[in-house]
Amino acid sequence: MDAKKEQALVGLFVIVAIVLLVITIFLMSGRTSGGEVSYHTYFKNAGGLEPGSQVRYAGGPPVGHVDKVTSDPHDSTRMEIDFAIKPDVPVKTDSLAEITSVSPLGDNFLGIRPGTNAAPRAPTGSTLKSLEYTSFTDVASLLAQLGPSANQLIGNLNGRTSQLQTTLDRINDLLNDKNRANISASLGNVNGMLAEDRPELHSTLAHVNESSAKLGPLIDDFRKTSAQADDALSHLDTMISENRPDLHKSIESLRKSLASAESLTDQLDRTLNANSENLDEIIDSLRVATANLNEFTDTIKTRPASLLRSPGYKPRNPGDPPPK
Amino acid sequence: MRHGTMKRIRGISQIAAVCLLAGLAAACGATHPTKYYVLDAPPAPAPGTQAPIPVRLVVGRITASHLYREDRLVYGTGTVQMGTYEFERWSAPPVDLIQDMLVAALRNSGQYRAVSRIGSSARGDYVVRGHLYALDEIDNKPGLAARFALQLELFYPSAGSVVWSGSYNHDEPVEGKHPSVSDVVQALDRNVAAGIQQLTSGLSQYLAGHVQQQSAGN
Repeated sequence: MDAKKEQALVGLFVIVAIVLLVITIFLMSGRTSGGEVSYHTYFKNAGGLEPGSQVRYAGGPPVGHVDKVTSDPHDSTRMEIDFAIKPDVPVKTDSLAEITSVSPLGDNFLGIRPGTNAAPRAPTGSTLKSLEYTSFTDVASLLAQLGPSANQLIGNLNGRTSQLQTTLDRINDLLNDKNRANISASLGNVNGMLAEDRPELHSTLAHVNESSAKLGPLIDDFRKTSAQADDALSHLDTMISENRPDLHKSIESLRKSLASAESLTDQLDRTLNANSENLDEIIDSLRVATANLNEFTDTIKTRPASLLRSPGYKPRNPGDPPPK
Repeated sequence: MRHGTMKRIRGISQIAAVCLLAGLAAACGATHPTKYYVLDAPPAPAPGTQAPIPVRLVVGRITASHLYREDRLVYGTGTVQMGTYEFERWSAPPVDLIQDMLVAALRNSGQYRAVSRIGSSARGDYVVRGHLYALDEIDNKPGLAARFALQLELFYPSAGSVVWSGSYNHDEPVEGKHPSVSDVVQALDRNVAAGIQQLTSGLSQYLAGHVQQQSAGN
């Protein structure tokens, strides 16, 4: 074989090998299947996604890849993820995009949660709603924020434990042998009392039952009485309504009589006040007249002759002996 | 018969006329004049600087034996015998004289808000009432004495009880070798003045202390 032929065969082999390599690479990267469907989604945290990262549907095998990860030109606080998936993947309008991984140590990929059956297919180029990615740093931050509360909780728990211990100590103290014996004796006494008073209790309950049984008729009687009282009041009301003019006249007459009596009392009071001095003088005069009458009577009894002549008393001087 | 009857009537008429003339002659004899005596009110004490005690007093009637409810002066001989002068009389019954003197003494003291005699229109917080035991001449040898004995009490109508009582009993000597009734009355006057002064002072002390206690209690 001449040298030119040999060189041509080698060159052809290299070209064929390169073509096979390129085909293999395309097949392995999945970019070979034509007609992929593109979507958009947004995350506050892209979670390390980069072009070429896998896209999985419902945690299954890779069905697409991330095309581009850039910050949103309209909102600099979020990242825009462009990805493409196979056209047979049933992405619905209510499907959700999330950043997740198969295991805690695995790489993150873009996952798609299935939507509902009733929802329509998401059109090409549409934006899927996303679930925000929580990174390990966020979890650590949350744990760090929970730290003081956890410490406080532990402190409270320790306090409650101490109190519980004290309570248990007191309960133990209450339930010592002596108290247990006392409680046992008390329970024994109570049992004895119950056994002893059982007939009385039974009798009392029987009386209560009898009284309760009598209450029913009593309440019925009371209802009847109440009905009769209502009836009587109704009759009274009717009577008052019928005799209202007469009653009104009677009250007017009574009012006038009371006014006259009051006026009369006032006049009598004024008369008594005005003549109180005269009354006192009359009473005093009566007293004097009575005294004089007594003296006159005494004189007539003891010296009747004094009506005709002077008794002939002799004037007395102090110290003189009494007349005989 | 008719002539005899007329003669008998004429005889009876003559006897009656003679008796009547004799009686009139006896009745028309000269009578002894009656003298009347009074008791002077006690002198008014000097007005005090203290405020009057905020009570109104009513002086009631003084009770006594009937001897002192009449106007005759009374004398006593021995220990149990008493008599009355016929022509020596008080200007008013002794119980009224003593009541007047009590009212005057209490008013003149100026220690009370009001003092009035008991009557239909009289109103008061306390009633002063008393009993006159003696206002008479005592003929004890060798001298005479004027006896005055009076008991006073203070009645509190709101409580219905007697809250204070005091008594006075004293024989005041009658001055003069041959004392007259006027001398006896003067001695009685002095005795009554002293007695009323003593009793009203005791009454005033009680009321002042009692009202002060009531004010502190409130």
